[in-house]
Order: sequence, then structure tokens, then C-alpha cells
Amino acid sequence: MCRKAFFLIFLDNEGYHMESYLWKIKDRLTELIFWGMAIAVPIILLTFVLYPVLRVSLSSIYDGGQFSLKFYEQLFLTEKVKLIWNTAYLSFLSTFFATLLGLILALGVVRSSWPGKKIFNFAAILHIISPPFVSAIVYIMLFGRRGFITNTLLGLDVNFIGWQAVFFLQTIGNASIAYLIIANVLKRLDRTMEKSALDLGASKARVFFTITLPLLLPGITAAALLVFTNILADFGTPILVGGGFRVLASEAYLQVISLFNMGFAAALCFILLVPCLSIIFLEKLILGNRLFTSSVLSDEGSLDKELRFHPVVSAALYLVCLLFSLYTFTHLALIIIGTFTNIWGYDFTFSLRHMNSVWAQGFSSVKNSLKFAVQVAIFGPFLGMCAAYYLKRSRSIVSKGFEFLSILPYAVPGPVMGIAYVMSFHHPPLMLTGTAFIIVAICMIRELPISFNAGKAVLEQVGKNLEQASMDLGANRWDTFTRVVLPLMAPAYRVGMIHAFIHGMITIGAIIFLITPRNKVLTFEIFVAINRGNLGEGAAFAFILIVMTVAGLFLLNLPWQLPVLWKSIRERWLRSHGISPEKHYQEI
Amino acid sequence: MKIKMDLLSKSSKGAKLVICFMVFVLMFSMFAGCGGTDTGTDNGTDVGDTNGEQPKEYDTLQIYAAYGGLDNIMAAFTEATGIEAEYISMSSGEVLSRMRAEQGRALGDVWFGGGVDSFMVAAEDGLLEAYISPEAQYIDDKFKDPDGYWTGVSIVLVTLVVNKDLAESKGIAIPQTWEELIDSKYKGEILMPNPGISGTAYTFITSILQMLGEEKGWEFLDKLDENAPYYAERGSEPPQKAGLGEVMIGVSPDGIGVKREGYPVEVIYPSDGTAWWHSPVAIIEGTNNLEAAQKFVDWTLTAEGQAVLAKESPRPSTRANVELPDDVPDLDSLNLVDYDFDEAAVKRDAIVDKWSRRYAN
Repeated sequence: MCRKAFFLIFLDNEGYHMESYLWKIKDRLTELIFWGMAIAVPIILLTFVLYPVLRVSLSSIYDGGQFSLKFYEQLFLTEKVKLIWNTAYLSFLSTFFATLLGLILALGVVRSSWPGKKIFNFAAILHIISPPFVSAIVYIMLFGRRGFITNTLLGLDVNFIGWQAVFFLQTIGNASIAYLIIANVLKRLDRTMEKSALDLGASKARVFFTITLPLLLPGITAAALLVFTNILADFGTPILVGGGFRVLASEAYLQVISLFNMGFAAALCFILLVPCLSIIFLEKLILGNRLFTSSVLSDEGSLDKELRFHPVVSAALYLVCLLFSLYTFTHLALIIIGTFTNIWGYDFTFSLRHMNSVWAQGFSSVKNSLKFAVQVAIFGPFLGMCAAYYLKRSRSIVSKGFEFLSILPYAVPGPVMGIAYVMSFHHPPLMLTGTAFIIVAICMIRELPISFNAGKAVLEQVGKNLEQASMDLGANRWDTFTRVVLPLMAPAYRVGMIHAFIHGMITIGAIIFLITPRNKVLTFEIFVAINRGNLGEGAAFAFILIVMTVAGLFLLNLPWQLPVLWKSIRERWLRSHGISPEKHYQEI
Repeated sequence: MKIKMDLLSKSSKGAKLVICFMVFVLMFSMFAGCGGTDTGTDNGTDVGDTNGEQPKEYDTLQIYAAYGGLDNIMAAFTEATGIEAEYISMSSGEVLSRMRAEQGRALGDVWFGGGVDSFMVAAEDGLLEAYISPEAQYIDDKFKDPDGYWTGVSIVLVTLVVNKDLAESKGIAIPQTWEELIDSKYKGEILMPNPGISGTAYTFITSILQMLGEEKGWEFLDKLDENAPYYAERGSEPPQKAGLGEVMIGVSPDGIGVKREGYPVEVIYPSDGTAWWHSPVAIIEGTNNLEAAQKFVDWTLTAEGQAVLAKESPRPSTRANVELPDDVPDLDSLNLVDYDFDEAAVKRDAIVDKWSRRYAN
């Protein structure tokens, strides 16, 4: 076809025709890109999502090649059944309080007039990028029997190890995620309704409970569901501070690492999948499409006076925000202290020995972490966008199925996915274990739901109208695609990219079974250092990880930040030369 | 003209397929391109740089390790032999799980360090490659497998890590024997791992059962259970918590590590019987880097290699007359339990099961 096109373009000397051919070629090309997606997206989804999940589910009902329910008997008919209750009550409790705390933080930041909002926001983000495992050690140093707060300040001799500790860490850790989601919805909330209610004489409390809260409900639900799956998947915290308190995820991890009971672990994984999968349906049921339609009208300007809370409420909210930020910054400070002092938590003289020992190990894990995270950040959202675009365009029952597959990874706990990948990709035909590819692939797949949803949200908001309009105005498919669809997708791509980068940097559960000597990453080094008792070294790795993540996020944001920065510098320059920027632009 | 145009726009099905395929390949190669690049390149360049004097070049060794001070050990090995080595730290259980998952296509070459019981299981399952190193003749027979599946490189001692500050402030004497541990003054102060997870804990309780006999042994464990606040989920948790003062006594392998890290602890080798096991090295079945793996095994057993190991990871050596650091006790000065490894391996499931039913959290 290419040769034909060449032939036609160059033999035809009439410009009009040439243009029309180009037009046609681009049109074809768009269609072909679409068809390329139509083949690649389903294949990737089937191989990297459906196949592993089916494989792990099936292996729980086969024992040595024979159908058997032995593993489920082991779970339900022995004292192991306690695991289910532990998981259930811990997850509900942590989810409830994490979401509540997230809501309080969001209200405190968005709806109060106190100073320091930026600091709270920063604290929440800092919490999201804080590496795994280290928080548990920090917790012990603060609230343990010899902890700084419990022992040194309050003079208590108590032991806060057990499910309460797990609950505390999970609540704090997930509150920041809940906060980011809820604050985002709250900021873009249509305020006219609240204002009219106030004008009509309703009390502030009444407005809040009958208008603000219901409007926020979709955001709160989305946050709660995300937090819930996060907590179900969390195996590290119960192992580190649970004091023997086990949940399904930690039991599955221990079954694999200490007993190699893959079948039983698979059964546990399958039980974990049940609530996670029902969440996907629950989300559809509760949310429908409300989350994205209620936030159309946005006004991020200053907050109107009448919408402010009563001073007492405000102060209470502020206090919670303050405590939360205080905890986060103490957490960070303790990591830095651990990195640069002689013995973490005991001897506080300045020392570089941990840094030196990290230096001595070379930078292979730092390099690996960065390499994987950047690859995940670039290709992950690409896959998500492709999936969103393709599935949006093709409406059939099959594509509904693929849509389900695209959000399925979000419901599969990390270690479960890791086990599934080991089971699926070690033997022919797909011998991927031991490669760096499989690590990037699993991170990409686990990030798929986020970028898929972001892409889908954008496409849904725009609807087909804009594309239709562009076509009606005479643009061809190619131009519509490159000039309308792609720019629209850019912000969603950015969201996906940032998520994917953070995930690529701090993930451990999913990849812990896939790491090889060649592909060690920073989180794994933290895990090993803490497991070996080299707490200082763990802190040093964590510190490097935090610095790298912050730097990486900064760099990734540059393409979006630079134009803004450039504009502000330019305006300042213009102002300093006595030209008003508005006038300048008008002249141009 | 019009006809030609139509030809182009409704391009034939074949051409359509070709382009579809191209886009598809492009997408896939982007997807795949992220990982594929680095696996091949490392091997050649890494080795090439370092070993000018080595007649033969080996691929970088991939080592699954459960050992301390690995960076320095690997560096010393590379210096001595010119063979590059990369390692990953894992507990014995993890290594065993991995090797089983990877059976038929081994990703590791050498398994270095860990509990001998796991090595025994692995040898039985056909996961190890037999190799009798020429250096193994200098190792006592009780520290190596008669068939050569594994060879012990060092002795792991089960110690009590005791927080001195806490003992002082509470006015409780530091225990010198494990028999003292059931005294009620240590209530809530003794942390040990779950034997289902930790080889250390399993060796500890089985040593007691073997020394006291089943009946008295379980009675002892009943009393010990009253003093334990809970059972840890990681072998490294007890010494860590003892170091930080969360508990007074942690049952731990290689307690010297915590002391060297600088925490205020004393390491006790119970005088009425110190539990121990040997930490072996073995070659993983199906390795494609056999010769280099053999060289690694040889090196760990040489006098120089043993000295490096003892220096980096504070444990007594299996080879006699190796110079040990000052804080590592001489084997002759200890009262080692006369431990029956075969019996312990056979009874493992039964003992862990009984233990779990009695004391699980």
C-alpha cells in the first residue's frame, strides 16, 4: 500500500489531489492505529491479567493434579477460620477510620481559612511516597515500650504491639490516599447549592449534612473502596507490628515463604479476591457515573465566608490536620535521623556509616528502582490510555468484559498477583521470570486501573460530541485524533504517570517473588536490611528512596510545569519593564 | 483518478492486516522493550572488565543467600577468583519456595547459607546438585552431607540477646541458662519466633525436646509460653526488639550482630546446652554456570574464605584452625546440644503442628 501511495503522490502533479490523498492516508492510519489497539489491548489483558488470576484460582482447587477442596477445608474447618474474622474486622475498622480521617483532612484543608494548608497537603503527599516497612520501625520508636512518646515523654511502660498497632498504621497510611481523592472532589464541588441553602436560612450544620456530605458521597465511597482493597492487600504491617496477629494477606505470604504451601496460599488469595471483586461491582452500583458528573462546575477560587465552618469546628479540624502533619514530619525526621546517626533510636551521634555502607553496595538497586519506575511511568499510562480509548470506541459485550479486566488488577492484592505471575510465567510458552520485563509488566498491570479510569473519565466527560464537532467542521480522523483526543488525554496521562512512578518506586508486595539478584530494587533492600536488623541501613535506603521519588516526581512534572513557569517569568519581566502582560498579549 | 483513490482508501484486506500487524508489533515491542534490553548485556561486560589474568571467563554468578556481610564476602570472592557474583538475600524458606517454583529452569546458581534442615529437604526433592569439593576434606564429617549435596561453612548458634539497660532498670538478673527462662520474673519479657516460620525457633524447641524428652520438654514449653508476650513472625524480630528495649530477652541466631550494631545488649550462650546448626553452601540443580558455582563452593571452604566469612558474619567456622574475631566464641568453650538433625527433620511437621495447636497466637 505504501508503494502505491508513493506512486500516486509523486506522479500526481495536482496539489489538490495530493492533499486529498494525504487526507485519506491519515484517515486510514487512524483507523489502523485503532485496529492495532483492538488487537494488542485484548491480548495484553488476557495474558497478563486474566490468565494469571485464573491460574492462581484454579491451583487452589487442585492438589497434585487432582481436584480437591483440601485447602479450603484447611481454611474453613480448622482454627485458621479466625483469619477471615481478623481480616474482616481489621479491614472494616481501618477503612472506616482512614476514610474519616481523610475526610477530616480534606475539610480542614479545603474548607478552613487557617494558614498552613500547603503544609498539610505536602504532608499527605509525603505520606503516600513514604517507603514500606520503615513506618513500622518508626512506630515502634515512637510508641513502643521504650518509645520516645510513650516512655520518654509520658513515662509509660506499655506495649502497643498487636492488632491496635496494625490498625493505627493502616489508618494513618491510608488516610492520605483518602484525603487526596476527597479533597479533589471537594475542591470542585458546585458551591451554588450550598450557598442557596444558606440564603434560604438553613443552619450551617444542616447544610453540611444534607447538601455537602451527599454531594461528597461519591468521592468518599471511591476513597473508601480504594482504601479497603489496599488494606486487604497489606501483608507487611501485620507481620512487622502485629505481634502474631495474622490476616489473610500475611498468612498467604508466610505460607509461601516459610512452608511453600502454594496451594493453600492460592486458596487464601482466592478468598481475598472475593471481597475485592465484589468491590468492583459495589463501586459500579453505588457510584455509577456520579463521581465525574457532579464535579463539572469548578471554582477553585477563594472560599466564600459564609461557607466556613463554625470556629470551634474549624479549630477541631485544624488540630487533626496539625497532628497528622506532625506525625508525618516526625516520621520523616526520624528516618533522616536514622540515616545519619550512629545507632538508630539509641545513639544519636552523627555518623555516616550507614550511608557509607549503602554507597559501598554500589548503586545497582537505586538504578534498578529508577529504571523500573520510569519505564512503568512511561509505558503504564500509555497502555491505560490505549485501553480506555479502544474500549470507549467499541461497545459490545466483549468489550465490557475487557473493561472489567482493565480494572480487575486493582482488586487483586499485590502478593496474590506476584504469586500468580510466578505460577504463570515460569514455564514455556512464556518464560519471563528472572527478567526485568516481568517486574515492569506487573507494575504496569497493577497501575492499569488508575490510568484506565483517568483516561475513561476524560473521554466520558468529553463524550463523542467534541470529536463529532471536529469532524463536522471538516477535520479528518487523524487531525481529530491528534489535535482533539490526544491533548484531552494529556492530563489523564499525567495523573497515570505520577501514580505509576510512585507505585514503581515503592511497590514491594507484588514483586517480592519476582526479584532476582540482578534486579534488586530499593524497597527490597529496605526489607532485607530491616529483616537483618540493620535498622540504620534500612533508614538510609528509605531516605534515598524518598529523595529519588521526590526528584523523579519533580522531573516528570517539568513538561507540565515549564510552560507555566516560563509564562510567569515572562510576565514578571514584562511588568518590570513597565508593560502590562495583558496588553502585551493583546498586541501580539 | 477516482478509481485509484478508491483503491487506496478501501485498501485491500491484506494490506490492512499488514498495517494492523505493524502497529500491533510496535505496541508490543514498546511494551516489551522496557525489559528486554538489560538481561543480555550484563554478562559479557561485567566479567570482561575485571579478570585480565583469568584464563576463562564466567558468567556472573547468581547467588541466593541467607548470610551476613554479603557485600564484602562477594567482593573478596571476586578478588580471589575473578568471578563476578550477584546475590539476593532471602530466608531459607523463601529460597526453598523459589527453587521449587523455578524447578526445571533454575534462575540461581548457588544457595549460600541458611538452615541445614531446608538444605536436607531440597536435596531430597532433587533441587541440589551434588559436588564434593576438594576443600571439603578439611571439614568435619558431621558438618557435611555424605553425598555432597551440601557442605557446612559455619555454625549458627541460638543465643539469648538480653537488653542490659532494661535488665538493670528492672533489677532482674540476666539469665545464663535456658532453664532460668521459665522463671516467672521473666513474664512478658521473652520473645521468640514462631517455629513454623523460623528455623531458629524450631531448632530451639526441638533441642529442648531432645534434651528433656518429649513429656518434660512440652511441660517446659508450656511454662515458657506463659512468659512469652506473643510469638514473632520473623526470625529477626526478637533480637531487634531486644535491642530497642521492647522486650528484655530475644531468642536469636547470631546475636553478636545486634551487639556489633551498637545496641546495649549482652549475648548469652546458654551454659546448659546451646542449640546450633550448620549453615551450608550448595549448588542449585540445573545451573548453567556450574564451574563458577563450584569455584564459589571451593572458595568458601578454603582457609582464606573461611576467615573472610568469620570476619564478616560473626559465626564459628566449620573448618578447624580458622582465625576468629574476638567476639566470636570458640566452639570448644561452648556446651553444644547433641542434636539429631535427622530426627528433627522427620518430626518437623508433627512438632510444628502440635506447637501451633498449643500456643499459636
